Amino acid sequence: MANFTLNDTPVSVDVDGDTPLLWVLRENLGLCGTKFGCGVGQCGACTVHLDGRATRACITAVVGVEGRDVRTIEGLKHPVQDAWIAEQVPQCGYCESGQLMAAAALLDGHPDLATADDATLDAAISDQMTNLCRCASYFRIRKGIHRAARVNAKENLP
Amino acid sequence: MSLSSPGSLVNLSRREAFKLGGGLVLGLAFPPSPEFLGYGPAADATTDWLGPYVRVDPHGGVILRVPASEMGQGIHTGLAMVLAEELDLTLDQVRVEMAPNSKAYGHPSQLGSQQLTAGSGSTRGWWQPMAEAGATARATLVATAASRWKVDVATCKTADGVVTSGANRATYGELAVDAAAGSLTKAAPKDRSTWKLVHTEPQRLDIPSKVNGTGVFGIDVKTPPELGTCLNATVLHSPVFGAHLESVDDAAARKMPGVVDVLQFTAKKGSLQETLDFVAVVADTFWHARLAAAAVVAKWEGGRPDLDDDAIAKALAAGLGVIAKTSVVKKSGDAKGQIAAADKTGTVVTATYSVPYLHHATMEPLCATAHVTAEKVEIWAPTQSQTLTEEGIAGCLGVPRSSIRLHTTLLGGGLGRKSEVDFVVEAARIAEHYDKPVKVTWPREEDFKHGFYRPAFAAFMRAGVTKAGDLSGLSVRLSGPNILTRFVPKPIARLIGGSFVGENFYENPYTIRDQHVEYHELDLPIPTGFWRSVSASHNGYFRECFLDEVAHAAGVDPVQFRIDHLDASPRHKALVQRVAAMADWGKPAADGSKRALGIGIVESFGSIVAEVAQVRVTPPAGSTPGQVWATLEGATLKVEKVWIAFDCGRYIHPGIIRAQAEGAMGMGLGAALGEAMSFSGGAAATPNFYAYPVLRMAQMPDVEVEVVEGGPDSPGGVGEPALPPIAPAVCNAIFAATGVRIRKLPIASSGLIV
Ligand code: FES
Ligand code: FES
Repeated sequence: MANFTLNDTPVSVDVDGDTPLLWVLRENLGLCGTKFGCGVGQCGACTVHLDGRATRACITAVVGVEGRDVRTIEGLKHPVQDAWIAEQVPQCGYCESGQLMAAAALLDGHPDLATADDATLDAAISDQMTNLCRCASYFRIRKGIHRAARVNAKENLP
Repeated sequence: MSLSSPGSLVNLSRREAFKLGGGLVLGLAFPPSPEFLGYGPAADATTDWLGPYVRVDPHGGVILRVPASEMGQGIHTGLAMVLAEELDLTLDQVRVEMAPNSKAYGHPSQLGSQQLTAGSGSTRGWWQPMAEAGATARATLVATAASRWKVDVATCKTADGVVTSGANRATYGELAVDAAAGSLTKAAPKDRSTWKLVHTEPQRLDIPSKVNGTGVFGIDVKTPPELGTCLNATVLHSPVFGAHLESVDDAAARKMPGVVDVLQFTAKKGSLQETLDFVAVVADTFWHARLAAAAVVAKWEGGRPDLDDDAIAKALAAGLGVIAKTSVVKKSGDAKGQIAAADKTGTVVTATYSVPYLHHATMEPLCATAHVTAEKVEIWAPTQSQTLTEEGIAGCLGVPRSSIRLHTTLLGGGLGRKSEVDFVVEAARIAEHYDKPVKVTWPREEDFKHGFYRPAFAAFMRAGVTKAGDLSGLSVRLSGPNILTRFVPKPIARLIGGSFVGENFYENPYTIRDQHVEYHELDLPIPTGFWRSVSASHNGYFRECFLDEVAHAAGVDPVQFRIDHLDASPRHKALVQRVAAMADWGKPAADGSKRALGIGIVESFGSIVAEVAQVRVTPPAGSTPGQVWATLEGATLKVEKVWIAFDCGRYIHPGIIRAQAEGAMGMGLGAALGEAMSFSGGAAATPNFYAYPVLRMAQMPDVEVEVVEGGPDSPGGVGEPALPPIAPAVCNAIFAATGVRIRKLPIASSGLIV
């Protein structure tokens, strides 16, 4: 039995502890917004937040999230989503749940980026945004993160 | 009542159109939620269709049915814009649903009227029929209003879903029931000077569902509960191409948690495309099926275990030297004579180029869900290819095509791989064993192992340059597999294959009086298929890099050289000039330093795209190469910026075109930089993304795109044509930076760190 908090709601699932969180979310809990891309931690399609940090759910055994806080795209309310719409980022869209979770974690984990100059933000994006997008929507992902970062900056104004 | 709408739909009665949509429209069996794609109709309408594409909901809103699969290219939005334009609706007044499989939705102009989303052909094929259908639906609503009010139709106006005539006013919804009961009034589309929506950039309809997790891809399908609990399966194929299944030891697998069964299947050909021998592991969840699959010991026999990267390279090289089997693709003038003459009095440029096998690696792995009963086969799949899927299932299961109902989901990328039907037909074959639905998901490793790869190719090219610096003859010999041999008898494949694999040489926009193009067809036991932009993906690279070499030998700037040879192709010429202006070609950087730029221009799928890349090559720490580098080993490449000028003729949504240009360029850049399938022991040796470096964020340059309407008043393709020019643009820029030619892809094989 695995117990954790999913999108602010406590859940219990009767499942083997070795089962990757990805498949627990998709198959046992029916939340299909988190995607399967490679199963080996390479592509980031399965990115969720584990205690607020971007985590690849396909290589995270559910036993490892016991008592912890899991957030998926279904429970995300973040300026990156509006920015993705404003910049018309997604193409096929398959990678975008993971991209959004990764981008949200990047901005939330580094509040300094909101006011950083463009070059610093670009460097952080190149360094931290390692999710793959086969449609190569990267240019717009970058623009989306810039846009969302500036929204964050405004929200953080005293 | 018969429907007098144009094209292939003439004989479809409205009642038939209604029936086709029965399941979806009436919500009888499917979908459980009307939000099937995540952005479809929110409520069931009760009226009939105004033709096969348009239905007006009496409660408000208009439902537009789109026959093409949505795989990121924005076709649902683009074609909805065409319909909404003719109906005088705003885009937020319409909802889109995916058409079911039906002859009624066959592509009007390509590939034997198949329902197929490929060849950058959806806008090209559907614009006119959709515009006519929209105009007819509008005219029918107007005629209904006019007769209700007893006024002349000429007094009626439409705007934003409302018909008015003097003081009379009715929404389309208020007219819906009567309009659907009467006969259709055929009308011609608007003149383009009156367009309000086409040429604007509304937000794409599918995007909200792709930022909140609600979009339904093939892998996300939840079957209606009344069909029973959906089983999950995964599949195993022979690692060695062409081997057959000898035996299976599944004793251990069967004892594993959740396992329902381990099934064996032999190859079967239901349509043009065949399914191979395979093993299916069926369980309660995919995860259980996946674990058990790892415990299955399958023995495969046959194939060509001697096949590996070396053997492929040798075959390609040998193909360049074989005369006997080589077919002449195109010959004009006396290229050989001219080159021989140039050899005496001018210069001859000679080069051999090659590219590797590539994999589609769609982000969504292959998957499909099937439910088979005595009466009907119901399929949910992310497919580009509704007609061939239907044929394949009918052939393999021995059921009538009319019993097959195919729900096309969103595609997590198609790229050509999902125009193959193997993964869907397999799902149907597995589901035949159960009375419940079965969802089949391929692990990524299986996807890499069983691709239909972009074939490896090589080109040997020679060109004469006269003393005066003129190009005096071009001779090209191509060597590589012919994808068409999968679909038509070999002699025919060979006959038509020349123009297909010889694309961009066969139809060469440059004025080269003396030209000789030959193709040697290689027969290698590696499955090949249509990879985004197909033959242009290699020939664009060969031609545009080699021309750069010729320009250099002639002592002419590469942009100028192209302009000089494009007098007979004014659209190409204008595009070269446009992209050069965008990139400030020939001008130094703001700080006065020299920039390294390269250009490529390639026509494919009815559109022309010119790209300029700016690169920076940084030598390894501690070394300071001069003007011409001895080696690129250990140096670092950064593609800083790409400018794209995209001439696709008449277009719908420039924002979607820019997005497709950025993405196709990016995919082509990833392939140019690092992608290559590796083979050993007769099998694919590239198991997953860690061995197949598709483009990453850190490699994505800034991009600037201009959409140009340079051609006749008809649309060109959008999804593919921006891919081919990037490899030559980058390689030519690397030459500008270092003096070293990249004649073999991927670029990383040169030792450059990408
Ligand atoms: S599916 Fe988890 S990283 Fe690819
Ligand atoms: S949008 Fe298609 S993979 Fe990223």
